Amino acid sequence: MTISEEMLGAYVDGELTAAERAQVEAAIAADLQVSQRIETLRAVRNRLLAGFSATIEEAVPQRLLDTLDAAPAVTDLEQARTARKAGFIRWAGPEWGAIAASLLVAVVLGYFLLRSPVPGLLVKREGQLLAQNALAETLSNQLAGDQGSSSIRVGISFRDKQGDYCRTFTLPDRAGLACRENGQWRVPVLVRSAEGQESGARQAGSPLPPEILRAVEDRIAGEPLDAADEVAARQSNWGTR
Amino acid sequence: MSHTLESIRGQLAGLLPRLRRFARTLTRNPHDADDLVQLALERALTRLKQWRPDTKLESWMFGIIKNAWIDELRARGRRAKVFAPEEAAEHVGDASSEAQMELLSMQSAMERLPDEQRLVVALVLVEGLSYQEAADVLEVPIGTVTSRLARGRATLESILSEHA
Repeated sequence: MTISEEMLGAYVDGELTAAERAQVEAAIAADLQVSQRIETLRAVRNRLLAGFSATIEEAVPQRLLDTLDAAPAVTDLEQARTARKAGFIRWAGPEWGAIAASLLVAVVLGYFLLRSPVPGLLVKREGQLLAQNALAETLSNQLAGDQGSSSIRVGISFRDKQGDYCRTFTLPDRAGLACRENGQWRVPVLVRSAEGQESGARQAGSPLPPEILRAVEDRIAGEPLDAADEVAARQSNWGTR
Repeated sequence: MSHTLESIRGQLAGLLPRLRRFARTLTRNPHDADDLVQLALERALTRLKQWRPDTKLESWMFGIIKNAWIDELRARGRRAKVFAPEEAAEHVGDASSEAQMELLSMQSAMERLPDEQRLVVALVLVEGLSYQEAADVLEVPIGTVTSRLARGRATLESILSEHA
């Protein structure tokens, strides 16, 4: 009687029924070759396990623990909504409005106090933050689908409740929301993002910080623009005729 | 039983050593392995709603790591080798201890397995999943697990006997 390699392996892995086990054990008792096969299969398994056990004893790198501690990285609006419904984002309504307002003051202040490492992209005029130069150009021209090698990336585009176009964007260490008003990109929300790009495994779509997603949720009328809507919006110069 | 975000984070933190080990069985370069775990954690945190508590959290995470790894392999596409052998050797560093040497020789053996066999071997022989659990993680029938495992074992056996 020959017993298949699958069955011998399953014996070693404890995957057989009592009847099958008895069959294999009878074969082991009767046939030296079978018992040697079992020994070899066990030896391979043990060596493999012993080899990789070194990893278990290593200290876990801090960056992995930091990833766990970070707010859920949310990459799109649908996920943001799901996360909110699941209760991860606990702030809502007026409570959030107040926090948002103070946060906005803090981030704008912080921005000017800390000096931007991306000078020239934003300018303050009449108490408002406006996109300029490469940022303004990118907001006007880049479609969500064609993220080039630029360090400026556009995320979600949508119409706000006044009917103005708004777009989220990320810079190497900032994320913000820009809305088109009077032919300019006003930036009502800008936050520091801890988002480093050193991780090679990071995906192309940079996750947006939760603050930005909440700002989107507060303003959006309907659904985000799809690719065709974006093209049409760009053709209209974002509603500026 | 309710699973709060905090309790899941705690459970994930406890799983990190095993998740890292699983990633190491897939990719030899330790930095790549940790990148893979980090990516999987990020994905998991944004998709916690998709985790059904009747699935073991580790099985769910192994599935996410597996998918992230497959995505990565595809993204790297036809670049002949995931990384050059010299590059792998750089990471040997002060790997002078016996345990480190054994880890390296097991990793190079695993590296020679076809991807699908490597996954089964890692899940069953290293992580100790049952055949059914491995089948669920890999989304294949249990018979596929059994046959890939037998082929993976045979290949490993011949690789390991080369150096015996």
